Amino acid sequence: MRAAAADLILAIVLTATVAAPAAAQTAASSFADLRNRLEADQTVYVQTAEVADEGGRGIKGKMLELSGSTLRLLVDGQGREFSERDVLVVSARHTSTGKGALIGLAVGMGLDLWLLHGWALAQECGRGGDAESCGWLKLGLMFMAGSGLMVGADIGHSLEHEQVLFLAPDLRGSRTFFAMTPLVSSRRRGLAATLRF
Amino acid sequence: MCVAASLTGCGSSARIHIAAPATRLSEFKTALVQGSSDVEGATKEAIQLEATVAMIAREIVPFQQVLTKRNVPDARVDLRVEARIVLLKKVTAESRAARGMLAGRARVAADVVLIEVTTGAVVGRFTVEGQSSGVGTTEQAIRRASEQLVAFVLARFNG
Repeated sequence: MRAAAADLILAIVLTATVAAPAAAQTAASSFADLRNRLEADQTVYVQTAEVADEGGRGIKGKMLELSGSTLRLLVDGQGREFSERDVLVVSARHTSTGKGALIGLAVGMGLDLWLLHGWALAQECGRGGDAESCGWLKLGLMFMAGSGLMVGADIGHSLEHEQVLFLAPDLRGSRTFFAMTPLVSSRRRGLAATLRF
Repeated sequence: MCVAASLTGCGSSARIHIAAPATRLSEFKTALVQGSSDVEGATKEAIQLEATVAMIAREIVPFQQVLTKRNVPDARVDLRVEARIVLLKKVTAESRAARGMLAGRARVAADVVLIEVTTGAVVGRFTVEGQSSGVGTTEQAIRRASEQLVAFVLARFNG
C-alpha cells in the first residue's frame, strides 16, 4: 500500500515536471501549416530576422489574420503585418501554475505522510484509532497539502515555457529537441529520454 | 560612486578593432550583407546580424540599395559586406528571467570583410563586438554589434 502510494506520488511529480516537452508539437515551417495551429485572438510572440526587440522575446501581439504569407497581429493597439520571409520564430508562452500546484500538492502530501508520520497516523485511523489521531492526521494533511499547493502554484506561475509554433525553414536544423517521459510501474521506475536533432 | 560605477558597467556596449582601414565607400551604390557563423548553433544569430545590419544601413547609409543574402542570394551589387560571427555568448529571455543578472551578459563578435564585388578586392576588414547590459539578451548584443558595423561603414562612406 505504502509502495503504491509512493509510486503514485512519484508518477504525479515526474509527469508534471518532465512529460510536457514530449507532448510538444513539431513547429510549422510555413504560414500555411501555421494556420491550423493559431486561433483568433491568440497571443503570440514573433521574432523577426531584424532585431526588433532587444528583450529577446519578440514582438507580442494578438493574432488578427493569417493569409497567404502574411501574419497580421494587433500590437499595442495597432495592426501590424509580418511577412513569412522576415519571420524566424512564432511562439506562444505559457506559465505552469496548474502543474506547479500539482507538484506542490504531491510534495506537501508526501512530506506529511513520510516525514511528519502521517502514514503511521493513517494506519492507526484505519484500524479504528482514537479520534484525536485522526483529527491530527486530517489537519496535518490539509495544511501540508494546501501549503504545497500554494507554494507550487506560485513557483509554477513564475516559470514560463515557450511553445514554438513556427520556425523558419533555415532554422530547422539549429534547434535540438530533448524530452523525457516518466516510466513508473510496480516493477520499474525510470525515465525514457528522446533526443531529436 | 560605487553605485554609479556599477550602473555604468551594466550598460550595453560595443567596440571595434580595425584590421585594415577601408577605402572611401561612397563610390559604391549598392550593397549586399551576408551573415554567417563559425560558432555552432548560431544560425539564428547570423541571420539576425545580417538582417539588422541591413536594416540600420538602409536607415543611415546613403547607398541606393542594401540587400541581404538570405532574401536576395543572387543579387548583383557593388559592395559585399561579409559578417562572420566568431564569438557568441547567448543569454535568452528565459535564462535572464530565471537567473537575472547571474545569467551574465550576452556577447557577440564578428569579423567583417568589405569586398568590392567587381574586382574581388578587400576594401576593409575589421572586427565588431557587441555586449548586452546586465539585463539584456543576445538580441541586444547583436543590435550593438550591428550599429557598430554600420557606423564604421557610414564613416568610410562620408570620410
